[in-house]
Amino acid sequence: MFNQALSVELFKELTNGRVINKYKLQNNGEETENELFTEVMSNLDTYRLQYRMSGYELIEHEDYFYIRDADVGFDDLQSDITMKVSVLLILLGKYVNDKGYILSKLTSTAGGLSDADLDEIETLPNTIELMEKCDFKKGFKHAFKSSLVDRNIMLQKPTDGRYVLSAAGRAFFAALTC
Amino acid sequence: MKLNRDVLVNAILRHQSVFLRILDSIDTGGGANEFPESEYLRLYNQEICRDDDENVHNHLAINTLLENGVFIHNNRSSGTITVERVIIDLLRFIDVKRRRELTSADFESMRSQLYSAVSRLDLTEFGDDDYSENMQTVNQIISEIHSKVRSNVDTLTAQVGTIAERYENLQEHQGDYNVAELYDAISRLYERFVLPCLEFISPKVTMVQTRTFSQTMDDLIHYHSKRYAQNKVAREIGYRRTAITSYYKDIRELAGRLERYALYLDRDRQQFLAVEKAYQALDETLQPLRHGKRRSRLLTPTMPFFAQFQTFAGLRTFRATYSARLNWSAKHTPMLAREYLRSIADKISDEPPVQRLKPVAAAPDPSLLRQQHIASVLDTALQSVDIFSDDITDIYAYVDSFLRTTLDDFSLVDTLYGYHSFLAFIDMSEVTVAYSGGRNRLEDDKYYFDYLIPSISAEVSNDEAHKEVGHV
Repeated sequence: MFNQALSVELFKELTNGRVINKYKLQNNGEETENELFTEVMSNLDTYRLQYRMSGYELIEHEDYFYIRDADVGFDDLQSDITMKVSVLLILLGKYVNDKGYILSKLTSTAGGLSDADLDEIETLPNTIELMEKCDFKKGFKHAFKSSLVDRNIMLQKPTDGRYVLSAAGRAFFAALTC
Repeated sequence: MKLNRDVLVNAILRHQSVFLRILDSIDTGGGANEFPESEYLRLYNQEICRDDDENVHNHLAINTLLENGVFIHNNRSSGTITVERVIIDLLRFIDVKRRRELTSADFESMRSQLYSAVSRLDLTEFGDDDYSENMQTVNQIISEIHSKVRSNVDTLTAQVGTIAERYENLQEHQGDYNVAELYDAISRLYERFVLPCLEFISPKVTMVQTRTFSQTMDDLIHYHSKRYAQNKVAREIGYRRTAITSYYKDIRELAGRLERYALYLDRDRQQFLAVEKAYQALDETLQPLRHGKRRSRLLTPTMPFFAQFQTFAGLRTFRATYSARLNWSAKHTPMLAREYLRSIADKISDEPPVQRLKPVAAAPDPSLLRQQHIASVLDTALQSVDIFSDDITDIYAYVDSFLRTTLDDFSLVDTLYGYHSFLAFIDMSEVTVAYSGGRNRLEDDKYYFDYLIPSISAEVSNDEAHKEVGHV
């Protein structure tokens, strides 16, 4: 049986364009089970039906899921958000490469991007151009927060405030490598 | 001045940091034991001259070192100094990290020397002078091989240690090297230096039309044990071979470590290259947008570059496109309607409703007194104004505009009555009233009047059919 309170929270999260990850970060920075993900997986048929009836499609992956319009053709799937998220993640990957880090800087809970890293990325010439070309009017840090953190693609560690990729963010780079 | 060599060696060891940097310069210069004179002078001034012992300044001066054979040549034309090989070996012996790894060419040189010497020995009789001379050469070569292989193992161990250090730094996100550079360094160390050493001392490796190190040593043992029954000599040679081939285990372990690092790094390298490739493609996508104009300067989701990214395909904020929804049950209750009215209340304008105008035909006729007043006003006006100086294109509009400005409580009914009075004052034999077919509309605050436009002209028309007086 579904949990009423969690289903309401799920609806708010999903319709606000956020991704639900299998894990979230607990206070010590380690990953812990996300009750919203577990709720959906425990009542998968129910939630599939709910969102199908509302005109959405529940996009299920092993470690994360989100919703999208059910009646959109393949060619129209690329939304503005998709584009902006892709550009921001590639930009982060490039920063990691240029600094001589490995990608676990973004994925490992022992790593993560600090505010100093974000400040440095913001001042890079290619960042400035990409922000302009993506029509991010308030700069990189605001774009990072609104497009990645607020959508649960990057998670902030409570202990040191650093940002690491969630399961959904890691899936982006996994797909890039394939 | 001439000095004892131990004094010079002591001075060199006292300033070994300078000479190790000279060694680095030699290694980057192609390994010809030469380095630029200017570099030595710079280091001499910056470091050696700061030594409190002024004797050291003299001991390590270029002329002194040349005179005593530490530097064997100072080439004025090229500006380079050549160093004695013993000094180079000494410096490499001091710092294992600066020892040069043996390459395939080095191993091949050692193998061919040993093979030639053993081949020559094979032509001699055991115990004669030729045997002694050739056996002495063989022993020297084996000793040199032993020394070099041992030194090479130490060097490679140090190199792998450096790789391990860099790898750990990479894992701890303190990257001095990026993952691709480290991967290349591992590959190079493995393929150029570790693998040749492994192949040199491996007994399993075979060669075409020549003999490997292990096979040559076997031939040497066979020469003594089988041909001349010199088992003691053969055993001693066997021990020396074992001493050299025992390094196989160490080299195999080093190779294993490098293989593991390469394996771990391979995934990171793949990710590194994938990000670089994606960024490159993104940059190419930006190229056509760098035109400096206002239009078509932004990236759009429909660009082909973005088609490859399906991880978040269709992700967007759905709530932004919908207004507030009533989340009630489907029961029909008045609350629903009241809530709807409440929700749209702020959208309802406070302006009074628009009054619908009535046709002027519905208006009551003006009173007799009003009719007389209108006629009087028009009569007075027509006496003072020559209205026929120009044609009147719309009689209704003409009368209306005149009465609207003259009467205090004007109504559209006044215009209708005024029109008839107006025509009554005109001599119809002198003018023509005609309808052009156009329509017009007059309004006051209560009534409207749609009519065909009557015009008046001073000329008398021949077409009597169009001559008409009246209103619609």
